[in-house]
Amino acid sequence: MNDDELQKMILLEQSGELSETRMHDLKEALSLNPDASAYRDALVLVADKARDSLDTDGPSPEVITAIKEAGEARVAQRRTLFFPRVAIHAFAYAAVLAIMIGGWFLFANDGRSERILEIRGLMAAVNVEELSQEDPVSGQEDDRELRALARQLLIMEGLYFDDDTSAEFSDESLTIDAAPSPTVLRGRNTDARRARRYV
Amino acid sequence: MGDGACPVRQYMQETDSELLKEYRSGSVDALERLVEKHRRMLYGYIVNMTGSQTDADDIFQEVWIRVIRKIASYHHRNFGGWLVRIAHNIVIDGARKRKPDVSIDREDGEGRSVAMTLVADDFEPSHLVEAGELGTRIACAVRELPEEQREVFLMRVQADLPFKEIARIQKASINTVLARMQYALGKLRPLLRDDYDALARR
Repeated sequence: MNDDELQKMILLEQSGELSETRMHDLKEALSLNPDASAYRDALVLVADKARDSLDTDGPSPEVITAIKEAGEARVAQRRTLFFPRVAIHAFAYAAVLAIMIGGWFLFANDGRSERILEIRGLMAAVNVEELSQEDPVSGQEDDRELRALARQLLIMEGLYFDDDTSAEFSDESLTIDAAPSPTVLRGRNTDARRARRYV
Repeated sequence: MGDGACPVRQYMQETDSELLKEYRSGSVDALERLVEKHRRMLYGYIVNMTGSQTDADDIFQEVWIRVIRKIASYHHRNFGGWLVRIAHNIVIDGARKRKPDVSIDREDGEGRSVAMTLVADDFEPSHLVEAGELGTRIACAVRELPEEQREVFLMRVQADLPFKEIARIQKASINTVLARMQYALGKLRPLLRDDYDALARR
């Protein structure tokens, strides 16, 4: 380690910036190098004496007063701005909340209830067609397809079905032997439906 | 300044963060305590850099005006370092305004930089707290240092800033800053040799 590096380490040691590893190296070097020790001692003495010697009275009391007045003015200014700022923030939060709540009410209804109503109407129309005597065979095929489609659509809307699977449609039969039990939608009042009779 | 009922040095025990928080909450008294806490360090740095008490008063006030303006957004860890940095910028700006076309580091034939000639002559060593002969010699010796070395010396010895912070303020590498300190000490030691020997013998 050369003198220049040693002196820098001493300076860093005095300012508290020397790492522990380097501190160990420095202590070792100081123990082996008397000039380095003398430099360190001189540094401490010069710094101590200079610190005391360079200390001065000041600034003038007028400067301190001016600083205090500036500090007071700033505090007063911040107080004046504070309340309008609080009011503006409160209004902004309220507006955002109102928009969020209003938006939820507006867009939460995605038309699902309308779709279910239309599908129910479709199923009801299928039942009416079953009553038609004009073309019963083709009517039954169309009915089954329409009912299957309507059922699928209702499943897609998240509704459950409790169909009575004992009811059967026979493709060869020209007449409907057993009426299928009405479709039950969970959570709905199905008493009126159960009361219907299909022919 | 401050509440007479409180111990004189109470403000020294309060941290800068605590005082800043109090001031931000509206306590002007906290600002006063903060100014007093850093007064000797900051004013000593400024007056020894400029050599003029009149200039030092103006710069000291300007530093705190800027601090008050920016205090809401202050978030550095070393408040003292921030004060010195502001003072450094004001000192440099002032020097440039006086001699805009000349580099303040340009040296004359005797190895003295222009910055040294800008120092006003209203600095009275008798204003020094320790106005003994040794104190006077040290103060004069420091004034004789080239500006950059004087600044490093004052920041380290008077403001107690770490070399890392000094390097940041001077926009130099830490090695450069350490070298400047070495040169400053090298120039001061011969001037104080007799005193040093006497002190070392005690």
